[in-house]
Amino acid sequence: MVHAYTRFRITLTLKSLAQLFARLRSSGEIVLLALGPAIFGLLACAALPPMFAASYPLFPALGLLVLHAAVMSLPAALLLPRLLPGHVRAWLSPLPVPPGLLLRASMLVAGLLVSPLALAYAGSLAIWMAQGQRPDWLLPGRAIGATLLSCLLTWAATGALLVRAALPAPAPRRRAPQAGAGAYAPRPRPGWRMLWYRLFWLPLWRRGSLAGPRQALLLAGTCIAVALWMAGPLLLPRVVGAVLASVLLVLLVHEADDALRTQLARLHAAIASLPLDPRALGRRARLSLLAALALPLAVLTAAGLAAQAWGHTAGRLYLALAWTVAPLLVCTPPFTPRGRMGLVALSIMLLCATGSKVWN
Amino acid sequence: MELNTVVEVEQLGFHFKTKSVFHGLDLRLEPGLTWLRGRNGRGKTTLLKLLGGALAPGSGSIRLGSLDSRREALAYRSHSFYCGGEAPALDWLRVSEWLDLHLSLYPRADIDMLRARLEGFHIGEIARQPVSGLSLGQYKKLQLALALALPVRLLLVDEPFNGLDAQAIDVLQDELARREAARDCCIVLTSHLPLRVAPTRTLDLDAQPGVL
Repeated sequence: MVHAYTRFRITLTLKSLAQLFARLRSSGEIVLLALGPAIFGLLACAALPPMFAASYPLFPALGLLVLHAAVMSLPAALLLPRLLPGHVRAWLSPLPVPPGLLLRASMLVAGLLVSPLALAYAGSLAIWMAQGQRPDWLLPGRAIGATLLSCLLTWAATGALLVRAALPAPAPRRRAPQAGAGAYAPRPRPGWRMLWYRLFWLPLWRRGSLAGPRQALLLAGTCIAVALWMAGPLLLPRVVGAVLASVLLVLLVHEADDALRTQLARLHAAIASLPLDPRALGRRARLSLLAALALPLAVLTAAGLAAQAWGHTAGRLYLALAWTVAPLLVCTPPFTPRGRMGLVALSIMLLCATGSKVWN
Repeated sequence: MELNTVVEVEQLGFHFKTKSVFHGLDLRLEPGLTWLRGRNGRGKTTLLKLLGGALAPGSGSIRLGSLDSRREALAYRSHSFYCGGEAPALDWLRVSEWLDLHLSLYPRADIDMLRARLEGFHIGEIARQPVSGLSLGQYKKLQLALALALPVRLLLVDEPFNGLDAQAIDVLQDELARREAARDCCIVLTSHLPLRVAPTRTLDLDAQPGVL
């Protein structure tokens, strides 16, 4: 019979994953719609790194496999605040759970998390092994062993992360601040900048929020994709650059808009008794978001000007569409989640279609 | 604009989706200390939130002097403050940021008074802590220190003694006594504990017509 503690850890994980999938559902649907075939192609290559590592001599191969397993366990490390939220950890860590039970429960949860990866490896191995003409470097026995070992190492690393997270937090290394260090020095600065910073910027980064890091990554990804698209290196066809830049740009706008709507809903009750007008606050927050979203669009415009991409009709049309996406998504009502997804998908398709013609 | 500090509630109606709370409630609250009493679930916190503008009346009206809580919501709320709730609302802020935000919304707040109250409650050194990391008592003290420094005409205090230590209860009781004597603002307070200071008025929701 499964111990109640193990059942609790599994239920907690399933609920956290369900919440995460619900949160990412619309973005995931968009990505699947736009990049579905490419993603299935990538899945076929899932086992490629460990299989390729197996073609090296033993010790370099082992090093590569350990490195690969560490990289593959990164998603679990990033998900830890969701899998074991702070308030649950605070409640869980003082419980008298025997170490063996803690280890078994954590390894089971790790197995649950790694199982999609294991399935992807199995599918990928099957595809590569069933090929009539295999590459010379692919040694079937070693490749299967290496993939299995990589999967086991990923499982062990994920389990170790979960065990560590469920243990009581170690005492802080930093000394407590000196008396007087935390005295209050009033700095009230009336004005929109202060309100925006405290009510909309800080929540993106604090209390374990991943909204800020996600948007920062999407912003960096968009700017890099735009630069690559315009530079047109030999290894990256222009069409791929256009698709990548367009998808990332729309996802960035969608993520930022979604985070803003979530925060406005959260503030609705929190500021209800304060002398703040929620409608005016929402209007100004949307305007500020549009101003912030002008940054990647300015990068796109400048990079395109430097690469002389906007000289033809397709270029000018793409630029106009790109500048229209942000106000379109930020200023329209949310509709239903599927309606929203449809709007986002339409934006991606229009941008991808126009973007792929810019260099024709 | 000089405001008359009288709260008038006329024919107030309010109901949640699953429960009606008030129907045809009439009240007149004069400056001084009003002790709002009643059994659990009678609507004490709901009434405080209605008086503070955090909830909108379903029917009827609430006026602070000439300001209507619904029609002139912003002006009304800038003259009132609801001090309650045990979980921090803006929990991503640090204490200093939380205080600065409120001070910027109530520009005529008495900063020296705020500093004195923070010291009086022995929480003068927590400015860099996250609001979410405060204990129940510390958060209560923080809210009270701010509330007592704001230039409001209507102060609504929900169960202020919950979680407070003996020293803080003394500080608060002294301050309430001082304000009750001064009668310069209207304080409505709920508490299941007896007050040391005699309130101007005791309003018992168990016996009040209009409370369902």
